Amino acid sequence: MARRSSIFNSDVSKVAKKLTLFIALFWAISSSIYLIINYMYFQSFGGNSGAQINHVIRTNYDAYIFGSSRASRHYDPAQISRHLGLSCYNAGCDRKNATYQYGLLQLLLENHVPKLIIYEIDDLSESLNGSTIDLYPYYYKYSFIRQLLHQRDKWSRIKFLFPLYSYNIKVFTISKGFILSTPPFETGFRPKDGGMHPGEVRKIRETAGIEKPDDPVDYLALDSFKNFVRTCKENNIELVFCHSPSYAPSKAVGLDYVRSIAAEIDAPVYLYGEHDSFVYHPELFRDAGHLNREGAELFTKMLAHDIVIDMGR
Amino acid sequence: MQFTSIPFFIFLFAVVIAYYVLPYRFRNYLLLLASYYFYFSIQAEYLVLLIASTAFNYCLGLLLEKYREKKGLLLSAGLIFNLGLLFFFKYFNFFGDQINALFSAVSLNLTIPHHSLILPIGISFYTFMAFGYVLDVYWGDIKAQKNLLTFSVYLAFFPQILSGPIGRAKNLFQQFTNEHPFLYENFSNGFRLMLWGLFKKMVVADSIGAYVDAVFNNIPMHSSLTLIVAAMFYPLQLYADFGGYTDIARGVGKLFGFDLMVNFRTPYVNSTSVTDYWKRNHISLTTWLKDYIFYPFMGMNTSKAKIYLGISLMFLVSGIWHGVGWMFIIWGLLQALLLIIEDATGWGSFKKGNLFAVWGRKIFTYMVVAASLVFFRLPDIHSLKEYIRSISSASWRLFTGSNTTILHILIAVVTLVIVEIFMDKKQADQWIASKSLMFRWSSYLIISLIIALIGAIDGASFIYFQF
Repeated sequence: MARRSSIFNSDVSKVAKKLTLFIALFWAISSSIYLIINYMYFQSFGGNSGAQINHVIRTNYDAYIFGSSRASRHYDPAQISRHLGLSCYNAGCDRKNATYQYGLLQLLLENHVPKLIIYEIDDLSESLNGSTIDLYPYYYKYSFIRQLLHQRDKWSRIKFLFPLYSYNIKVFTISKGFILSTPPFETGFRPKDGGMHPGEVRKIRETAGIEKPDDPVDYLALDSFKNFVRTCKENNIELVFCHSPSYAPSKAVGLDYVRSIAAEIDAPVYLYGEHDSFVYHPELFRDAGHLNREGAELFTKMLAHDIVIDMGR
Repeated sequence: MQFTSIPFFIFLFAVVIAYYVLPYRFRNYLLLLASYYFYFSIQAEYLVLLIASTAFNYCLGLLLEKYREKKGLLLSAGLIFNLGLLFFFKYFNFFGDQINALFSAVSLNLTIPHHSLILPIGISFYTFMAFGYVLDVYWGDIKAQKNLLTFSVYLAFFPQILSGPIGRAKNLFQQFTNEHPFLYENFSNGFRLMLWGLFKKMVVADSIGAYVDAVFNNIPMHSSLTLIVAAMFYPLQLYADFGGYTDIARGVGKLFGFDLMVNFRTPYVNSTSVTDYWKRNHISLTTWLKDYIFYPFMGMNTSKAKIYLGISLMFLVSGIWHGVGWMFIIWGLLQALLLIIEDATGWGSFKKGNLFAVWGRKIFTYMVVAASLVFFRLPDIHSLKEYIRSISSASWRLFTGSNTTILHILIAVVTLVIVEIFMDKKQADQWIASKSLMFRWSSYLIISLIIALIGAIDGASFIYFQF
C-alpha cells in the first residue's frame, strides 16, 4: 500500500470539507439563535440580564450615579434629588469596571447630556476584568463600543464573528426577563436588607491586621477612566467622585490616580472608606463590601450634605 | 496561551499545517520549536529550567548506560537534581516554615528565609517524566535515548507539558521516531476529544467553579447545607477541569498522530469503590507512583503489612506531589487509609451486582471521595477549622449563587453524567465513533451550542496548572 506521506492526500480534503461544513452549520444555527435572543434582549428593560442598560440610556435625568454594585446599593437617588434639587437616577450595576462606565456614558450621551454624575470610585484593577459583558449586545450597532471592546480584548474581533458570543452565559436571564416582562428598577437604587453574617464579622476580626498586597492597577481601566472624565468635561457635565463606606477600612486600587485626575478638573473627591461612622459598624452593613438599607440612607444623606456645602447647591 | 483561548487555536492551526507540510525528518524540530515557544509564551523565565532539566537527564541517561558499575551514584545524582528542583520550587518555603516553628519552639534564634520565586508551570509533570525515564534506564527497562532532539521533544511536547498526562519514555520515544502521515481518523478523533474537553472545562468546570469558589472562599458566611452541596460539587469541578484539559491535550496529540496516555476513565460517575476510583482517576500519575515507588518498595516481600505501608507511601507522595501543606498530606494519607480499609474488608474487590447494588456503591463512593476532597480543596488547617465550625452550625439555608448558576450547573452536570454513564471505560472519541452519522453530528452541534450559550468563553485558568 502506498504510504500517505504528503499533506496533499484525500484525507486532507475530507478533513477540510467536514471542518468547513461544521463551522458553517454551527455559524448558521448559532446566528439564528442569536437573532431570537437579540430580539428578546432589546425588548427587555429590566431583570438581571443587563437589559437595564436599555432603560438607562433612554432616560433623561439631571444627575446619574455611576459605578458597580456599591453604587447601586449605596446611593439613594431620592435623597440626592431632595438635597440637590436635581432629578437623579442610579445607573450602578453589579461588578462593572471603568471600561463599562465609559461605554455606558457614551451610550447615554447618544440620547441625553446630564448635568451631574456622581462616580463611585471602584478598584481600577483586573479583578473586575470581563465586566464589560453588558456592552456586548451593542457591539454591532455602535463603533465606539466596538473600539472599546477591541481595546480590552484584542481577540474580540474573532469572537464577534460568531454573533452568539454577544449573549454568552446570558440566555436564561434574558429569556426570563423577556417572558416575565421584568420592569426596570424605578430609581436604580437597590438597597440590601438585613445585617452582616456573624461568621463574616468574626473572619474580619480574626484576619484584621494581616496585610494583603494590593491588586495591580489595570491600565486599560485607567485609560477608560481618563476617557470618562475627558468626555464629561467636553460635555460640561459636573463630576463628583466618591468612595463609599466599607465595613473594614478600605482604599480603592488606583485611588491616587483618581485623585490626581479629579484635581486636574477641580472635581471633589469624597472618601468614606475609612469613615468612623461606618467602619466596624455591622448594623449598617449587609456584607463587608455593601451597606444595608439603613447604612445606605445614612451615607447618602451625609454625601448629599457634603456636596451641597462644597458645591454651593 | 490557554488551551481554551483563541491564540492557542491559531498557534495549533499553524503548527499542524507546518507539521504536515514539512518532510518527516524535520518534524521533531518543528515540534520542539513549537513546544518551547508555547512554554515561553506562558512562562518565559522558566524555559531555561526546562532546557536544563532536559540536558541533565539526557546526559544522565547516557552515563547510566555507559557506566553501569557506577549506576547507583549516577541515580543518586538524578534523584538529587530532579527531586531537588521540585523541593526547591514547591516545598522549600513550606519546610522552612516548619523548621522555623521548631526553632522557635526550642527558643533557637534561627530563621530559614523564604524565596519568592513562583512555581514553574508544569514542573511536577515534566520532572516525573524525566525521572521516570532515568529510572527506566537504571533498571535496564529501556535503552538510553541517544537522540537529543527526541529526548527534548519528549519532555517538552506542548500538549502535555503543562499538566500531563505524565507520559512514559517507552511509549513516547517510539512515537517520536514514527512517521505520522496525515490521517482522517486522527483528525476526527482529535477534534472529538478536543470538543468534549472544551465542554468539560468551559461548561462543567467553570459553571461549578463559580459556585464552589464562591462558597469555599467565604466559608464563614455559608450554611451547613451550602458547605455540603459545595463539597459534593467540587469533585465534578476538579474532574471536569483536569479531565477537560487532558481530553484537549490528547486530542491535540492526535492531530499530530500521537497517542498520549489515557488519564481518566469516568472516575466520578462509574467507580464502585475507592479502589476502582484510583484505577480510573489520574491514571498516569497513579501508575507512575505504582511503578516507580510502590513496586520498588515492595520488592519480593508481599506481606499485607508491607503492601499497606507501600500504599501509604505511594499516596503520601501523591499528596506531596499535588501541593504544599498539611492538607495535601492529609488528603493523600486518607486515600491510603480508604484503600487499606477496602482491601481489608473486601469492599474494593467488588466485580458485579444488581443495578441497585452497583448504583448504591457508585453513589456511596462518590460521597466518600467528595468528603475526602474537602481536604484537597481547603488551603490550610485554619480553613479546615473554619469549615468544621460552619458545617456544625446546623443551618440549612442554601446559597444558590446568581439567578442562573444552578441552572447552568444542572445542564452541565446532567449532560456530563449521562454521557459518562454510557461511555463507562471508553474515551469520548471511541464512544462517539461507534454512533450513527446523524447522532454524531447532532452531538457535535449540540455540545458546541451549549459551549457558546453557557460556557465560560472568557473563563478561568486550569486548576492543575498550580501543581
